[in-house]
Amino acid sequence: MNRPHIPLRHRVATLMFGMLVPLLPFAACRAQGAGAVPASGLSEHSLYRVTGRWTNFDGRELNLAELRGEPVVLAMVYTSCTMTCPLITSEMLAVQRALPAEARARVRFVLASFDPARDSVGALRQHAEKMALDGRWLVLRASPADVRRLAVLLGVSYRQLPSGDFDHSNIISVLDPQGVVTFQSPRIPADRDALVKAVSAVARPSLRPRR
Amino acid sequence: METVVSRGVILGMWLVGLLGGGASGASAQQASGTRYRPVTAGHVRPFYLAGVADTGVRVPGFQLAERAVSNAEFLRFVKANPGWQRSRVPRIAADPAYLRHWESDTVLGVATVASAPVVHVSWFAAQAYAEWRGARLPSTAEWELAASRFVRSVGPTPERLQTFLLGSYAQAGTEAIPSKTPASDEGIVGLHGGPWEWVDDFNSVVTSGESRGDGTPDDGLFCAGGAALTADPGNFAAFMRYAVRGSLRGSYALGTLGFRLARDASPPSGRSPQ
Repeated sequence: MNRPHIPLRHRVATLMFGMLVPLLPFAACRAQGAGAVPASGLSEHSLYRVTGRWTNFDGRELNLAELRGEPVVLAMVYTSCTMTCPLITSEMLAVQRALPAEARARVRFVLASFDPARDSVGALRQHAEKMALDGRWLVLRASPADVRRLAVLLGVSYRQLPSGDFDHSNIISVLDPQGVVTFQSPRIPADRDALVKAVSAVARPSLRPRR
Repeated sequence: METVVSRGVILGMWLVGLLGGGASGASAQQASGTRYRPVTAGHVRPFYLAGVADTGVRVPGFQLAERAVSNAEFLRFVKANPGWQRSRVPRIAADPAYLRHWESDTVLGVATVASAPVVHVSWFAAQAYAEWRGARLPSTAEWELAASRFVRSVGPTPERLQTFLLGSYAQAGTEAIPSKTPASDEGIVGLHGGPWEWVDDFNSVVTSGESRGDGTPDDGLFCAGGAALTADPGNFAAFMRYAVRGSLRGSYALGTLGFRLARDASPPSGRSPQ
């Protein structure tokens, strides 16, 4: 089949238009006002249906729904934890290293703190530096209510002990670009092969939403 | 990342509008007054003892609703917040059993007693309702503290309460309103004998299934240790409550589970309801 010859200049213009088109539905929804429109095309099971406000270790505020479109590996930890939390982070780092380069460039790694009282933005930043987390990582804090909400969404149990430490699940969750949990590793040490396989599956280019 | 963020902010705005509970119905409080009863400070011995002194955990005083939230009250909420109606709520926030005892999205129907505690509600829905009312759900410790105070009606020893509860379980019925069980010493109705109730931190039961390997003392509560680590292995009702809480997910909408509102003892003045 012969493709018609299109001058390069037109092709560039088409490409640029193509890049703008995905933004149009968002602009339209904004015009209709908050709450007027259901989250179009977002799965019934997406975490992004129920989210809260979080602050990253660089001070930037975000809603978890902003991660829509990216494959995500997410765990809940607290940075003064000396038991399993560093192991959870290390496990996620190992997964990051084990991914094929193309997937590695796309996957977002997220640590969300149980401990808003002690995990200030500064404490989160220290943790990110100590663990040598690169630009694909977010380390987040939120209000106790938003922390609880995320934990419930993920099926993560936790409670603070009188000592200030937390008992908690060691769950690492894998989210597809829609924010649907596709895999959870329930324990540390994790089954790394299964985890890498699950992350690779949600990082397939075909899963990138048309947007 | 920047484009993702800017699009996401917009997305986040409607999500908050849809499900955040928000301020969309701030006048609801006036429409239906919830009567709160003060619960004085005290100590609770958590059902499992790990990491807790023998005297238990001190719980500050707070206020707890005299009754669980009713069908009629919850109906007002879903009318004011259509995103929480049965046909519109996303599955992640409420499973298919959500409000299924009602006739439709906004009609209770003849089979549902308007004044009975609402059941078939998920934790997310209960949370959103509480936010809408400018209140919150009680914590596990708060709920257990309030539910332990039956000296006047039942007697001074915990055993008497247990015997009483087991006796009332034996007369199982389907009565919707727990009118037969006495109010607590502080005037709170339906803590025992009615539906179980959501608590804010229901997911604080860290059982061995999930924390295995992290070396916490909770290992074995439901596994090898059996009930040996629990504060009171004979307390069947408490065992059931903790077991139920430990098995819940936030989207579950059980027919045996409702909720009631709580608030701090003296809300800081000028704080707007969230």
